[in-house]
Amino acid sequence: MSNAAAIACAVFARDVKLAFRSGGGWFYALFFFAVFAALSAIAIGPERAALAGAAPAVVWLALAFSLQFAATGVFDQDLADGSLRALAAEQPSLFPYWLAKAGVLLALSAAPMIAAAPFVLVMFGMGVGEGVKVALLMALGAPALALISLLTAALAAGLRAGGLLASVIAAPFAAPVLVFGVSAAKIVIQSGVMWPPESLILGALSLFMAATTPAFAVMALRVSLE
Amino acid sequence: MTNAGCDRAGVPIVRGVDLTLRPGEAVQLFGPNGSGKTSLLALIAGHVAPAEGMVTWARGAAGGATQGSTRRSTQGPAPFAGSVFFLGHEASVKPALTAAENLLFWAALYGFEGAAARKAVREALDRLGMGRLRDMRTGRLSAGQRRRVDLGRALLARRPVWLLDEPVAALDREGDAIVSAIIAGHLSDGGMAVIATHDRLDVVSRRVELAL
Repeated sequence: MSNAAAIACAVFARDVKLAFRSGGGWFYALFFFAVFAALSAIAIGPERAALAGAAPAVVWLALAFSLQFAATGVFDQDLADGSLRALAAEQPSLFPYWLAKAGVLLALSAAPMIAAAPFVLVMFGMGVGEGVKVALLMALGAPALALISLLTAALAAGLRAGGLLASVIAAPFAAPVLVFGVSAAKIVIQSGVMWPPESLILGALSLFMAATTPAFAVMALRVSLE
Repeated sequence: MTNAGCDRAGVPIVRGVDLTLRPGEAVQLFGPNGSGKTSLLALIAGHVAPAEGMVTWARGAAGGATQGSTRRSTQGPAPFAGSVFFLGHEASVKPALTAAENLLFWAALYGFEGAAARKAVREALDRLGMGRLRDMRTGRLSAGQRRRVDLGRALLARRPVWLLDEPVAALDREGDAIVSAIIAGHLSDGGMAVIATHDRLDVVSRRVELAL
């Protein structure tokens, strides 16, 4: 195993362990996701047509906010206690470290939210079958949202009130994912066609973020060490 | 090891400091709070670029020395980052992990794999007198014990130059003796150390006083 892969694995394993030991910290974002959707359903009211119409927008918004919430401050601990500096001294690139953080965010935050989405959509009067289809679309777009959140977390690393700054920076990047995510979900619900063109754009956005955000995130982390 | 080391630094905060370090030598930096002990260590480690003067590092036996210098851009590690181990102020141990888990993480980073990593961590913890507490979460340990776990990274990193910022702060007499013995062992293996501390350490061969 190359050193870079070893570092990525070590950071991933450590962060998963930390997530499960910090009093269930990984669970908060999932809980936030469910509560956001539940409160939205209550606010919209019992009218079936209104609930069904709002459902796609609500789950996508819930996903975007929850991932932002999950990613907030993921680099701060390592920055504050010197771990990040020690890691940076070890490796010419912080990419393996970033990769591990992205993996943890996808595995412990995004994946449980996507798995919970069909059940959340039941609150909006949607059948489980339709809910699963919407969840599959969310799986396609979630990497884009997660990577945007991770980039803004890197930009805000070590700053006071960095979380607020991060959400402000993330908003314009998250917008296209929401636009295509919601329209794809609406088409899937109405026509039953599984992969409309909008869903391909969702996938493209995820690939685009995977190609562009790592370089900037790693650079931002380096700058935070100065 | 046949390392010929040479570090020279001069910074305005610290004013011109000349410092040469040879294998087997330890230098203590002392002075009041804010006199620049930590800044000087960060400079030697390459975390900050020197404002004036330079830090150079010559490696290898007679002839054909490879040279590194920190008059450099701020991207990427210093040219001799692979030769330096830096122990900062804050204990970079995670309170939710046990002593052994913390060190196993760093062992993986410093290139150990599988059984070799476990063996190295066990030996490091034994040398630090922490073998008994290896499976205790470090959040439940005392500050001094956490400090010793953190110092275990130095044993795993196997670097010729140790830069230690207050290594014996919060340590009792026993911990102090253990850490001193470990530094002495490092020096007798041809290692070098720059130690910023107020405390008296018997292992140091020279002291550099920094004024405000």
